Amino acid sequence: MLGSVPPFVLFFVGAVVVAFTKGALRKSILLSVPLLGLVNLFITAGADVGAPSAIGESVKHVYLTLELLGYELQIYRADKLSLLFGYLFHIAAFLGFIYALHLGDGIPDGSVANEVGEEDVIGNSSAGMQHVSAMLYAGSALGAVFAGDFITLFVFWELLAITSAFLVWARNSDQSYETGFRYLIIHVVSGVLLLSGAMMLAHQTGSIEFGHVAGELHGDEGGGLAAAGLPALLLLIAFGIKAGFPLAHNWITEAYPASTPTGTVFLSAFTTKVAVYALARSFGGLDELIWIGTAMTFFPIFYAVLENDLRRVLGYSMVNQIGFMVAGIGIGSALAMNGAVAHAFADVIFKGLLFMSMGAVMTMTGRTKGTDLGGLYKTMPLTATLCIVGAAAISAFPLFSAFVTKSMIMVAAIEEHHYIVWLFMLFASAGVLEHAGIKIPFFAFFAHDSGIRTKEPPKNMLTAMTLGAVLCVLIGVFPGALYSLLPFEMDYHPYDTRHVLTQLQLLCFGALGFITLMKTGVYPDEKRAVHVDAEVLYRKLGPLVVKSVGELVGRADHAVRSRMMGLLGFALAGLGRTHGQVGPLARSWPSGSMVFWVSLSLAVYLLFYLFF
Amino acid sequence: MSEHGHHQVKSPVGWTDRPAKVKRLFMLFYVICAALFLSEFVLMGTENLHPHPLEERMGFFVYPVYGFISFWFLVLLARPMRRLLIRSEDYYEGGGAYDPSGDPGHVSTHSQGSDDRMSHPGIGEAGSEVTDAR
Repeated sequence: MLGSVPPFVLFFVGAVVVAFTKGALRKSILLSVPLLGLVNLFITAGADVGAPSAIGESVKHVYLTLELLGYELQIYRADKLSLLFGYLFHIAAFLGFIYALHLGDGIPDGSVANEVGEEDVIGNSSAGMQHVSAMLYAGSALGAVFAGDFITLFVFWELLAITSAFLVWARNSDQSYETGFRYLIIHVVSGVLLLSGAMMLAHQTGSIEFGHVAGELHGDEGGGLAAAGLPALLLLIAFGIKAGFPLAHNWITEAYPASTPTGTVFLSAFTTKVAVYALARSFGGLDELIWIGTAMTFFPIFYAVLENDLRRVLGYSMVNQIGFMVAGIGIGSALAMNGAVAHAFADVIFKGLLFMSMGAVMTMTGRTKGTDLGGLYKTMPLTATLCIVGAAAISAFPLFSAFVTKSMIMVAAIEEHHYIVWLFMLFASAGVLEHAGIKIPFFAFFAHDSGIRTKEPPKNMLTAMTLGAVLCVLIGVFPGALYSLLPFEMDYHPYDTRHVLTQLQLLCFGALGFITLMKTGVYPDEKRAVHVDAEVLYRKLGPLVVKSVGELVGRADHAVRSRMMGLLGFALAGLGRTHGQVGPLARSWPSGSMVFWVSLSLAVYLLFYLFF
Repeated sequence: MSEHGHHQVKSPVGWTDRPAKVKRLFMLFYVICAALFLSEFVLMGTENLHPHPLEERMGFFVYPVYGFISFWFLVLLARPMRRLLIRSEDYYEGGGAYDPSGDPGHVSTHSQGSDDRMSHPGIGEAGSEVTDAR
């Protein structure tokens, strides 16, 4: 039985059960569903699965199919690429549910969150809704990565959007309400583009298989996006919106800080990584992705320096990290593709850990802004330590996870002679150290003592963070285990003297740069402000355009109407003159005059007849 | 720290409040940096599996120089960017330009309106916090 159950089914059933249970029973279900799913997946993996079709031989297993309108839907298809993300999402769900286990149990001991004036920062009142939607959300992510065709992918793509929007709304504030709607609209648009692209593709190729699209259309010649045509472009935009491509990245920086402390942990794990998976499957080796990815690593680090809300900083950091993955997918060699998906794996865990540590700070203090925080290491030393582990992992210090994953992408860039890209990435690596490695822990736990005195977060939160931190170190110290799960064959060893030393040089001298910037006072201070980003297009400019166009149309409409009314009035007045009560044309004439005119015209006719 | 002073039941003194300890930590870091700088001479003898044109051109000390410069470049570009892009916190709810006088910034440690020359006592002159705390 187990082993052939589509992974999403367990989660969807689990969500229904969670909805109708309470207390300890609900908690045990929350934890057992991801574990059961993981067993299910291990049995699946026991079968012989191989690399996806993009590069090399494809050994895949299709466990469940459906017929729909003459197309075969592959509900559950597994190969090495989807299995890797499958494991990852189970681990993320497990950690997330441990982290959220205290929800509904009231305000944790020592929390001063109620000081900030927001009624329910922690999200206790929406505990049930959060658990159910998180369970459905994780299930949808699994459904998407194990989908074998675009129609199935589309269904789970939209489910991802709907289920996760509830995690934004769970905050129960006006801001989260509006943000949730914007989030939903953006993701539904992405789904519609996905479906349009898939339908056009099916029309052209006759297949709805969720496979390598770029190669499918230009015969692996590497003709780029222009050669791949409109369907591929639509699919790329659909994936790109969810992956946070430049200009489409603001849903990440908006939604993550708007959700509850626990909700954001789930949000950060699934949606963007499903998009990375979809890009890896359909657009591996697409040249345009190299530059899109490089841009994504580059511009968010500037915003991250300036941003005050530390969870929004992590949102920008998310865009930056996905940039590395997208660039890796664009490079497209076996090493680069492996690097991209391995980095996605590591990122979910270290970014999850960082979001968890900021969520713990938010749970205990009600605040996430750099201007409000500082000095928390005195009362939350464990949280601070675990945050620093996450910071070290994302900064790619040797013995931590990103060191063994990001470097694969960097080396692949050099091997494929993308030197400029490599320089940008190296700069972005220093940027990561700045905003995620130093800024996050420094401004939350050190810097100026804010005077906030609280306690460590609940035990379940500490447990989840500890497990995340252990995984960050385990991946970094024993990369072989993760490497063996990667989809493509490669020969790569991260630990050699040169790599370790040069990386340490880069990071430590970067940190030295930070110290000099601080000591000279050049480093920009935290400010209670926003910095205009692409979201201004739909949050400010869009409404402004709609409003002013509306006003313009209204004014034109008014002008045309009043002019027409004037004309109409004029015409009516004219008619009134001629046909009014005293108008000459409206007078009733006696029948005698009619007889006179008729006989006159007859007489004229007679005269004509007689003389001509 | 007047803003949060009321829940300051006890005022634990952490290691950042002891200038000697902070100084020792910084010294340790500088020593590590120096060692890493010198490690460049070790690297000269090792084989570079993935050489980059930049490394070939510059020869040595590529990474420490690049790391240090990156941070300065990042911040020096972010500052004019802030001047251009900063808006009030309620900008999207109808607010407008950023008003520095309405921003208390970090509580008490900074004087207002001098953000261009602001120093960060938390890292540089550690210990100043103790006197500010009450």
